[in-house]
Amino acid sequence: MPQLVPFYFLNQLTYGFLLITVLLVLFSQFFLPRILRLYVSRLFISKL
Amino acid sequence: MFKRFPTPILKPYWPFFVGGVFVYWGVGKAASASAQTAEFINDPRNPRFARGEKPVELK
Repeated sequence: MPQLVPFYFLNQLTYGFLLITVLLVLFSQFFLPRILRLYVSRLFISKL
Repeated sequence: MFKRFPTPILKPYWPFFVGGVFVYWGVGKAASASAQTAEFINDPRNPRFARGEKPVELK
């Protein structure tokens, strides 16, 4: 099983960390604020 | 498209990045150690052959 071959560990770790960082930036700066904005705008509209 | 909000990432999460550096170093050490064991020392994918080392026999 290639994931258990030690020569590939650092490659797996590099891409894993990169993926996690990219997801962290994407979600915290784009997606979650957009969802929050949606809910806040619905809340404000319902109070008019 | 999507508006970008400058959510702080380094300010609250820097300990995890520091820990990631330690994990990277530790995994590198573990990988090179396990590449020296009898199971993998003569594996043709071992990078030591690219450095010009010869196969070790009778291990």
